[in-house]
Amino acid sequence: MSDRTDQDLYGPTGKPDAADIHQRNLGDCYFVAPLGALATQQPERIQDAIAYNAETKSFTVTLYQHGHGGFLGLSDEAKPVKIEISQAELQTDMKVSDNLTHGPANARGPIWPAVMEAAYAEQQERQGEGMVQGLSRIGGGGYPKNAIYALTGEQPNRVSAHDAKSVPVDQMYDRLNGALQEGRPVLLSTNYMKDVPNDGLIKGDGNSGHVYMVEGATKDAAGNVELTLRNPWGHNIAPGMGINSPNPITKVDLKTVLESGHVDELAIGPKPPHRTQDKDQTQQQGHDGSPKQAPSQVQTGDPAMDHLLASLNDPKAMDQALSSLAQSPEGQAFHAQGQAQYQAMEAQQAQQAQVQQQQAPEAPTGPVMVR
Amino acid sequence: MKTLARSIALATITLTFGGVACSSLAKDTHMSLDQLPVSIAYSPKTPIGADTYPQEQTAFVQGVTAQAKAKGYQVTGQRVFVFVGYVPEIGPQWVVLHAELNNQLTDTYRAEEIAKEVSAEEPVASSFWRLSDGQVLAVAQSQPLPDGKALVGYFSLKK
Repeated sequence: MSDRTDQDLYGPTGKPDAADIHQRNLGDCYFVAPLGALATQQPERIQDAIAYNAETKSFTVTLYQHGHGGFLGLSDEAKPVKIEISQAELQTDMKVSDNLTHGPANARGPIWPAVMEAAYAEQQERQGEGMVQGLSRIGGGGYPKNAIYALTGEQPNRVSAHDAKSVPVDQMYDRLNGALQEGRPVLLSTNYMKDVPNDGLIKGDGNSGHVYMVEGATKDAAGNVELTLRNPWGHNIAPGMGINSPNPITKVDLKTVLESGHVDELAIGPKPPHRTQDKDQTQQQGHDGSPKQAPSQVQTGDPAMDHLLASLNDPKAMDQALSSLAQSPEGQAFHAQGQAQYQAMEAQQAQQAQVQQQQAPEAPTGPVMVR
Repeated sequence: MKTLARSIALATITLTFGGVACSSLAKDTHMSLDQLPVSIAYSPKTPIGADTYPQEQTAFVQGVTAQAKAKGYQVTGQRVFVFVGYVPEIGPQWVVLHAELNNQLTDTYRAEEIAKEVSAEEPVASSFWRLSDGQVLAVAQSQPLPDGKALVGYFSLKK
């Protein structure tokens, strides 16, 4: 197989397209559906995430993982990680996942889905593992929220079917349509249905649901809300699973799929990233767009805190104030206490994740595992 | 036309009785490989002989046999099909075939999926199911054939 370059990344439009995605061999709809939704809503985010190095013939992909940040490093902050994908790793992905647009791995087509998928697989690899193990890890099902975080560094807003049902369908329409108009990726996850459904969604795969990209929302005069969904399979031919159409687009009545219990949740990803110019403007304004107020002159009685408050308009002074606060005995003790709490929380989460992974095929908890 | 109508009627009867047989098998779960559904994504709809894609088929079956052996099983029977895909332009998709077969096996035969693998070698993907009577079956997909299709094999296994 010949080497792939940046010339192979995209199709004739020169940018990622949701129609480039055809989920073939891996059960990773929870990753490729958010990827496709981003391609539709924020193609520049994917283009910015992939860089090609002609010298090494490798691709570098920026994904995100949980990191420490904020005050004294105690808050959860997305940490960008650069993942290098060699030609060998890319070709392994194409061989194992075969996630190319036009025909199988030996055909040429936009390779951006394979590059992104290989990077996600590498991010999920454990020490000593290679690309095949990474692909195997991501190919057994998962949760869209994790993929959206890895792709954008931001947690999606999740609306459970229970919550969606508890508000008028009009409100859900406004929320979903508003999100799409704002350029946010929107995903719909399903539950596995024991009986064959007849609502435009597939039944699922042995206790696992599926994820669709939400591409549109319309409301008719009677107030019925219809969602336009794209199946990451690239079609909807699903023998014995309730739908049989070569068209990847399916339309569903929101109320019907919520009330039947077929929908597990809706996930709304972040807005498109701001341009630098917008960022600068935002920094000079308050959250509501009004000019920033002068820092408070309030005296707290704690010299370190007063020093910090007085420095709010001077980044250098604020940096010094924060350093002094962090180095003070109280700051050190607070830091140690916070670190211990954070580590305990991480250990507990890791343990829970391990237990969930072991139990997932039999008894998934929380959102339904999808593939 | 009359012959065609008769064939369709016979096929319908066969399918109907197949369905009934499946239901009774849910209690007495022993099944043969020809009771596993033949996907609409295969062409032809009958198993191929050893002379079709001979080299690729040999490598594929050897790969599955080795995988089964590593799990302590030997292959006792097989049916191999050519997988053209649900949409020919897209080609074979294991994820869709897996859903089709997994739903049949778990819903109709009360089977439990006990292992699944993907690989850069042969087979590219495989799944193993255990029926309630302990019988173990494997379904696997080969690496792409030179024409973009793939082989799918149904295998019966024993310890």
